[in-house]
Amino acid sequence: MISLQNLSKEFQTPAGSFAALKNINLDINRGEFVGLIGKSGSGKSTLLNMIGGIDRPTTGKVSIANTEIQDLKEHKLAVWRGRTVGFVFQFFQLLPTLTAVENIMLPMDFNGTLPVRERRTRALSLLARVGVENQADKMPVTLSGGEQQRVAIARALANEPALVLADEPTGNLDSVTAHSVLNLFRTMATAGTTVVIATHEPEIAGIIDRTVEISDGTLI
Amino acid sequence: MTTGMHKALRDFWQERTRTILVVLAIALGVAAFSSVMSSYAILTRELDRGYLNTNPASAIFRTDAIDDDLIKAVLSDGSISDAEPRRVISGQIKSGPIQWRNLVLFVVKDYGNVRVSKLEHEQGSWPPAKGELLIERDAFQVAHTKIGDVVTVKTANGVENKLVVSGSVHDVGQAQARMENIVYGYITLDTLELLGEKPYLDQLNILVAQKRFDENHIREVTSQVQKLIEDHGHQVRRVDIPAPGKHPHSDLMGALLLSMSSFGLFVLALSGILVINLLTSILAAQVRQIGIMKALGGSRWQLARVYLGQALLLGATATLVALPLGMIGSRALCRYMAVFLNFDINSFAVPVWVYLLVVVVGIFTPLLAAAFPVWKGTRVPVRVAISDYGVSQASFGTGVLDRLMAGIGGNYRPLVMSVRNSFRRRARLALTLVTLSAGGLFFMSALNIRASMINTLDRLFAVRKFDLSVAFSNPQPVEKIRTAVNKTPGVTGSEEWFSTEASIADKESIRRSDGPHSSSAAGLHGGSENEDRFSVVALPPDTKLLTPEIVEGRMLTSGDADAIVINTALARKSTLMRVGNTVTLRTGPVDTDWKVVGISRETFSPPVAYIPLSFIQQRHPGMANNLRLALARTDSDSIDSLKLQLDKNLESEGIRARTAVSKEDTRFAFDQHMIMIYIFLIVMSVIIGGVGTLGLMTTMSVNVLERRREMGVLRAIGATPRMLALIVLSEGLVVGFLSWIIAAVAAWPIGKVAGDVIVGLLFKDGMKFVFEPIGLLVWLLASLIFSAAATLFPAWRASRSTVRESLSYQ
Repeated sequence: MISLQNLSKEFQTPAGSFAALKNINLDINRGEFVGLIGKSGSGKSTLLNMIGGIDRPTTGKVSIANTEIQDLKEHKLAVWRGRTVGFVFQFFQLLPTLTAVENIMLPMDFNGTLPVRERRTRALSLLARVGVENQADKMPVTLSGGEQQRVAIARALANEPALVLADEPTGNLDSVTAHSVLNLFRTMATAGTTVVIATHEPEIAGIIDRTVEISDGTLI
Repeated sequence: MTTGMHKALRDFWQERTRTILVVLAIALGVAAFSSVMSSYAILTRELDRGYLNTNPASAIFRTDAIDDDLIKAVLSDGSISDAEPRRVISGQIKSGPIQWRNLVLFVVKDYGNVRVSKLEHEQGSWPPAKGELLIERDAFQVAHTKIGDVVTVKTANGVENKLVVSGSVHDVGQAQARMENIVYGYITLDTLELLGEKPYLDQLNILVAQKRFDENHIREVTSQVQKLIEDHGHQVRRVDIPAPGKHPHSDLMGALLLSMSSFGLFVLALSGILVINLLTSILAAQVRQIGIMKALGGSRWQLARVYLGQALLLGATATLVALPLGMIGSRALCRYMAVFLNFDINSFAVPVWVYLLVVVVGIFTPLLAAAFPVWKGTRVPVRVAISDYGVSQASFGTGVLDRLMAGIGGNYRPLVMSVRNSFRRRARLALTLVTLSAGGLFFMSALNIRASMINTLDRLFAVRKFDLSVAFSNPQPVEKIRTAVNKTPGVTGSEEWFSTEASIADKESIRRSDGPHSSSAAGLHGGSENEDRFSVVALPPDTKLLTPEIVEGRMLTSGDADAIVINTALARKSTLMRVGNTVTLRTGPVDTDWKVVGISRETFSPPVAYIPLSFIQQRHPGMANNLRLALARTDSDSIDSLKLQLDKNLESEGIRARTAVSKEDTRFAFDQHMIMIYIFLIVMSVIIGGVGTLGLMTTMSVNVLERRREMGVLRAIGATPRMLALIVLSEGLVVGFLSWIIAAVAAWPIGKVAGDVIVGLLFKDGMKFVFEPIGLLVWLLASLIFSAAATLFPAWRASRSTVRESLSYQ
């Protein structure tokens, strides 16, 4: 499902060149639930960005579901991202002017997934799947942190992506809510969706299939 | 330089695009203000100087033939410094096959020694030889002629003569010929004789020796001179005392400049709004920085100084940009006004006080505008400031309006998001809408005022059922007039009227007039509130060619003997002029009592009274001095040929027409005055629209900046760069649409008030308000185009950011 070959990423900063990722080689299978673990600044988020097509490598190849994405044009990359990847962010990043259900329908609008009339039904079923269906027509600001993250997960699943990437998805949640959110990811993976989570939470070990540790831009 | 100033500069550099936009907007406001203030200083100085350089007459006596003895006698009076005779006669002029134009001929005895109300030689011969005619420089376009052409001229005696246009003069004291649709010509006594007129001068222009600008003193001197003239056996028919030292149009120019000054201040205030928006957004984006600076020990005042310093920089930079722009604008405005008022500007030097005022206003307006956002922005507690994070920092969804907005859905979420995004920063939205709506408001008001003026003029002219007005110098036998008319094909109706002048009897016989030649220029400026003389028109019973719009009382009827109907302009002149009152009017040497029976609405008209023709017929039985004709065909060619035929027929009856003016010609002069207001308002709306567009551009660019992380999220979940640009563009269009709604709603009341104020200032009259629906459509398109143009750049910027950059934006 995911194949990273000789992947490197350098950032040009006013202080000079900084290597965020160094010669990364990594394969992740379909339906695998992988935890990307490392300290702050180790390169977890950069690696996640490479896999999700949010950023481009300086050298190397990123192949996701047999598509090499590093050379895709911006427009095609956006379309690919919308159909293939679901993102979950640490601060939920729900769009504040859309209701919970509208936040989930938005990726469907972008990608033209399903006929227009069926989108709400699907969005509601996704909200039901993450247990917040009764919050469907509320604005994000009125939801608790846990509820917002559940909506964010439902949004990530909107286009039935083959891959879900989550960057510190439980970093802003209490432990009970965090546990329940991780279980949602587990369920997704069991159902065949590849899930990669960047985290430094130790309790994730019991839920994920595999741990990939990164330090100073290199896999350990 | 302090660390604070370094920060202020670097913050601006970081946000240079927006900074430039705001500087431009402020500069536009300051430049507009500076243009108007400079123009005010230049025009008032130059107009007065130019006018005073001509030695304008202190008083003008209209008497009979003036001889040298009389002039010597007048000059021997120590209170008179100079006296010079002239003559002013009406006539008509024709260049080639072009139709006859109204002509006012000024006869000067000695062009080499013009000392009072001086003329300025421009081109060609000077003085004009016998058979030559000089034309006022602005009148060439009216006369359709040029130097060297041979024109046909006729005076009241009807004899046509060929004269050579030998040069041009500038007569500062005259109203713009193009606007009045009159040709001003200048000839010698020899040429006057050639035209078949007796070669004498009957107008004496005097200059008082002392206190030239003291009207009371001038009145005293004028009384002495009148007595002196009469003691020499001459009859004084009329005395005019122009406002001392004041150009006849200085009030008009003052009103125009007042309107423009208000507009300059308004634009300046609008650009201040942009400063509020910019600094509010800068402070909002720097909440965390403010928290950190406070944590490091910075006091609120220290932080405020940094941001007030930014406002100071904005103002100073904008003022630097605006000053040269303002001077350029001022020169353009001065030139336009100089052409409009027909005077020359010798110096464009701007007084120091204007520069100082512009610098103070340019620097302090942004500072003032910045005060509130800076005070508010620096108030944020440290704890709140450093906890600022994420896309959901704006608490959209908690207010009533948010919930209402949430209820407005749609099948296309990106558009729904655009609409709701517009309402996220309400204060910013409100301020942006103020600037954008103002442009629309002015534009629609301009169209409404134009439509109202046209409608008012339509109504004014609709009551005039005649198409051609013919005036005779002296009363003529009605029977002969009718014979001539009956022989003229194309006339569908005719009436013989009698017009004269009157004044309220209990006032002094010496009256103040608006201009040195007020008897000649019967345009919109002919009647002033200070002038007591007014026209009296004697109408036949049950006239068919005039159906006045009676607003109070009734029109004259066939049984009336001492009834008088006055128009609204006359009703405003005196509290005595009320329906039911009896007023004593002086017509010539006779005082007569009249009962006011009605008031007619005649907007933009000078004061006029209508009396029964029977009153005149008692004094001039079977005579008339005016003819009104209704015609079958009213195109200018048909009217011209009818005029020719009528002239011949009148001549065969021994009658000479002094003037023949078609309704279209009269309407043209009115329309020319209205165009000035219309253009002024349109220019205002374009400038304000420009400031509004810059404002929206700033707002959208701030909005995009604040939502960069949100943009990243959108990109992460599949939005293409084009889609992102469309979302931003739609938001801009929503704002544009909202501004249109506000402008559309406010256009009616504001347009009416603005129209009344402007027309009241310029013409001392009101108008019938009409709403122009096409303005709504035009401004809808314009506001959408402005909004799209203003949003394109921010939208492009939004679509250009990479997802990673956007997501990592702090």
